[in-house]
Amino acid sequence: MNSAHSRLTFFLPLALTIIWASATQAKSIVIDDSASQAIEPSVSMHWKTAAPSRSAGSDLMVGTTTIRVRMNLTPWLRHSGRIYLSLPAQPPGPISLTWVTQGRLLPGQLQSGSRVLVYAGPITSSFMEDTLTFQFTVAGSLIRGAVPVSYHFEMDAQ
Amino acid sequence: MHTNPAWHAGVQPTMSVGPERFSASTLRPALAGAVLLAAGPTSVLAFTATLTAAAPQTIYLQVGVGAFTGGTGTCPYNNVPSCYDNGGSPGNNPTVNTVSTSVPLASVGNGTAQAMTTNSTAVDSYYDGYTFCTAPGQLYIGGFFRTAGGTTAAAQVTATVPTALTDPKGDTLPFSKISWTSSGIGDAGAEPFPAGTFVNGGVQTVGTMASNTWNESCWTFSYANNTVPASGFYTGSVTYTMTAP
Repeated sequence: MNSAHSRLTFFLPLALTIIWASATQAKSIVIDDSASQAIEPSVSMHWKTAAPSRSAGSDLMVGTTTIRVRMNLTPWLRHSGRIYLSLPAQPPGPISLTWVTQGRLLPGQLQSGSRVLVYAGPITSSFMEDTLTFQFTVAGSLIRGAVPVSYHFEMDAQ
Repeated sequence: MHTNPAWHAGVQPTMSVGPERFSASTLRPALAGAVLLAAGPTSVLAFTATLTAAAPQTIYLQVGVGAFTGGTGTCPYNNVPSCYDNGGSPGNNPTVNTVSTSVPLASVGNGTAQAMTTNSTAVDSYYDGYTFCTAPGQLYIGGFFRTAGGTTAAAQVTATVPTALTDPKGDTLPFSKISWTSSGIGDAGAEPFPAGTFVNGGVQTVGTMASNTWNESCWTFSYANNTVPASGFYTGSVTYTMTAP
């Protein structure tokens, strides 16, 4: 056995390992949070500023709501995972969302069409709970009647 | 607040505006995905928050002195305590301001317009505290209307004008003898409340406001002084009204 051959046998398994890791990248699964509860029945949107600016376009409206989040993490119990808050792109248009938590999940902000990490670590119990205060920001021009906005938590299991 | 299961794990919802057509090649992968996911353990829900505009319409019209309250700190100019820029909110001010002039006997009817002055002290804009008008030569007029739900027609500001000014003896002076020019310190371009002349009785439009936009002007009034009325103290009251769609 010459030295070139031994080098090859060393590197080949390593390369295969990297490829395998890439192919099994965690997939996102939407978490069952059907036990969550909204404190307010709807989000009352107010003008961000009582008066508008001199130039058109300053028509942002903001609204706050509190949600008692209760996620069923049974499928991932005793594993590690990364939980994201996802706000899909949806009508009526661009939506900004910021939130604060009681500490179990991370606070953050995002734009519709994206997601943000709210938890990373071991899943040690079947349910994870926290109280989140959400603030939605939407252009007032997009608020026509009642506007449903959907979001969800999703898991990237490891 | 929860909706029925909106979509299954790993399948993003699709939204289409018009009719959607599927070819055999696009339909097949979708079916395969559904079969795979049906075996998954997770029941999936999307949380839906319903946003509703609590106070979608707000109007504010200020002719002469106005009112703003609240806000954080002071405004960028003149240490005004409350304005749009520091988060203040418009308030209600019932004050009725006057615009007047006194024509010297030797000048009555000579055709030289007489400048009018106001008892209004409003010179700073409630937008940012900036000194926008001059006193006592100009009357501030400004406002806005907020509306949600997209572009709407502009709000109209009208003046309801009596037929004439009158004195205690019953003498009259046509309102059309009073005109105004429009400007604002630092302003360029067209004014939202342009120059004009009162009608002799009736309702006339004196300005328009696009939605969700701050509008303001300073009016400088003058009396034409091209007739010789009976001597007296003539008064009349004009009411300004804002009408938003």
